[in-house]
Amino acid sequence: MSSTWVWTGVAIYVVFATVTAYLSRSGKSLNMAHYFLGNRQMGGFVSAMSYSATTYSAFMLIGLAGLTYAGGVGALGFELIYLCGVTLVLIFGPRFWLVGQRFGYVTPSEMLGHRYDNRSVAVVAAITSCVFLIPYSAVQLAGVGYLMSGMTDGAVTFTSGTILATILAIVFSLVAGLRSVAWTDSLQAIVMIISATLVVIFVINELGGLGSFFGSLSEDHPGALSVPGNGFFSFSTFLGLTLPWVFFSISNPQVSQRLYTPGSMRDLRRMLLGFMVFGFIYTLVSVTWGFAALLRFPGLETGDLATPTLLASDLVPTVLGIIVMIGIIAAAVSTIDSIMLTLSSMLTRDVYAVAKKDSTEGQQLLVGKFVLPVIAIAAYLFAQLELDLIAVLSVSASAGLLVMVPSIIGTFFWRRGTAAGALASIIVAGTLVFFLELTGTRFLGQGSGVWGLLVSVVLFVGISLATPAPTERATEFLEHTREKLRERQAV
Amino acid sequence: MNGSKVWWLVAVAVLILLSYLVPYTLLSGVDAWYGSFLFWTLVTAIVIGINAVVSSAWRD
Repeated sequence: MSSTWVWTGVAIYVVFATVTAYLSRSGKSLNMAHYFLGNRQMGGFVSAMSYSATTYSAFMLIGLAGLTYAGGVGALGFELIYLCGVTLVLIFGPRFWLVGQRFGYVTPSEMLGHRYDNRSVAVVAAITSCVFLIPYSAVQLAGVGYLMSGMTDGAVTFTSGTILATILAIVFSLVAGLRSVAWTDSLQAIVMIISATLVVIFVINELGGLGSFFGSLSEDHPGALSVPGNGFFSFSTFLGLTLPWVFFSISNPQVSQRLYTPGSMRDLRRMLLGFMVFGFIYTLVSVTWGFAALLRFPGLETGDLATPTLLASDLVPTVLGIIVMIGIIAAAVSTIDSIMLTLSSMLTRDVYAVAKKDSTEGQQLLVGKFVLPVIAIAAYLFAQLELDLIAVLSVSASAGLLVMVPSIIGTFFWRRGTAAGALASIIVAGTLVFFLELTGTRFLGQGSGVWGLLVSVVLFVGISLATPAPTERATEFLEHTREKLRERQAV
Repeated sequence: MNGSKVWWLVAVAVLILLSYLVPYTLLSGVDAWYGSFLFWTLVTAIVIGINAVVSSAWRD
C-alpha cells in the first residue's frame, strides 16, 4: 500500500476522532468520578461499544486470525470461552455498580482497600496493575509501529507509527477523560464491526460461498476444524490460554472499572448484552479471516501475517482494506487510552491520595491529568526499547492480573477474607507468574496462569483463616450489597 | 441469591465446562463445520440468551 493512501486514511480518522472527542465534553470536570467515570452517567450503547473497543485490542484481528491460521478452530473455542466468561458481569456487574454508588469508588483497587479495611491492599493492587499493564500498552504501541511500517513497506517508520499512537491516546484521554475515550472508542468499534464484517462477505464470496469455504477447509487442511487438530491446541495449551481470559472481565481493571460507569441498571444491562453480541460477531469475523488466509495463502511464515496478507490481497477491495487497517490502528489506540485512564486513576486514587492523606478531589484530579501523559510516555519509551522483559510482562499480563481474582471474589462472597490474605495472594502469586514467564517454565505442562491462580487461592484462603477479618466493614459492605441486590432483583 | 436465577448461572458454568470437554472428546474426530465450530457457536449463543433472560429482571 502506498504511504499516501495510509496517511490520507490516518488523517481522515484523526479528524473524525478528534471532533468526536471534542463533542463528547460535558461541562468542566471538578472531581475524580466526573473525569474518570463519566460522572457515573454513561449511556448503555456507548458503554457497550467502548467496553468492546477496550477489550478487543488491535491484535484480536491480527492475533486471533493468526491463531486460527496456525492452530485451527481451537482459536474460536478459546475466544468464545472468554466471551461466555463475561457472564461474570451478570454476577459482579450489579455488585460493583451498587457499591460504587454507595461508597463512591473510582477504582476497583480502591474498593479492595476499603472492603478489606487496609489501604495497602489498594496500593499493591494498583501497582500490580501498572507492572503488567504498562508493558502491555507498550506492546500495543509497538504493534501500531510495526503495522504502519509493514503496510507501507517502511515508508512510514516504526517510530512515526508509535509516536502517532501515543499522541492520539494522550489527546483522546485528556480532552474529557472517560467521556472522550468512550465516544472515540464507540466510533472505532462501529466502523470496525461494519468494515470487518464486509471483508468476510467479500472474501467468502470470492472463495465460492460458505459451503465451498468449509468444504475446502476439511479437504485441504485436515484437523483445521477439530481440536487438538494439527496438535497446536493441545488440551493443556488450551486450558493455559483460556483460564486467564475467563476471568478477564473482573481481573482487568480497565474493564472492571467500567462497571462503575453506567447511569442505571438498565444501562449496565445494555452494556453487558451489547458487548456480548459485538464480541460474538467480532470473534466469528476474526476466525473466518484466519481460515480464509489459510485457504488462499497456506505457506505464510507466521500466523501473524494472515490478516495483513488477506487485507492486501485482491480478495478485498483496496478502500475497504485501508479502512480496516486504519481501524486496527484505532483499535490499538482505543485499548491504550482506556488502560492509561484506568492506571492514572489508580495511581492518583490509590497511591497519591494514600501518601498525601489531606489531598482534595481537585488536587487528585490535577495529579491524575499530569500522570496520564507520563504513563503514555513511559509506554512509548518501553516500546522503543523493545526489551525482552517488556514482552514477558505483556504476555503475562492476563495471567498476572488473574492473581487478584480470589481477593475480588472474596470482596463480595467471603466475609472471612482479610487484608493479609489479599496482600499475600497478590504479591506472592504475582511474583510467581512473573518468574514462570521470565524463565519459560511450565510446571507439569501447565501455563503460568494455572499456577498463579492456584497459589493465589490457597494463600488467600489460608492466610485469611489465620488472621482476623474486618468484621464491621465486611458486615456493612455485604449487608448493603445484599439489600440493594434484592431491591434491584439482581442475582 | 434468588433460586431460579442461580440455576441459570449453574447452566452457564456447565456449558463452559462442556466447552472444554466435548470438543476434546466427542467431537475431536469430527473435522467439519458441524463439529466443534458449531458446538462452540451454539453454546455461546445460548449463554448470551441466558444473560439476556437473567438481566431482564433488573430494576432501577
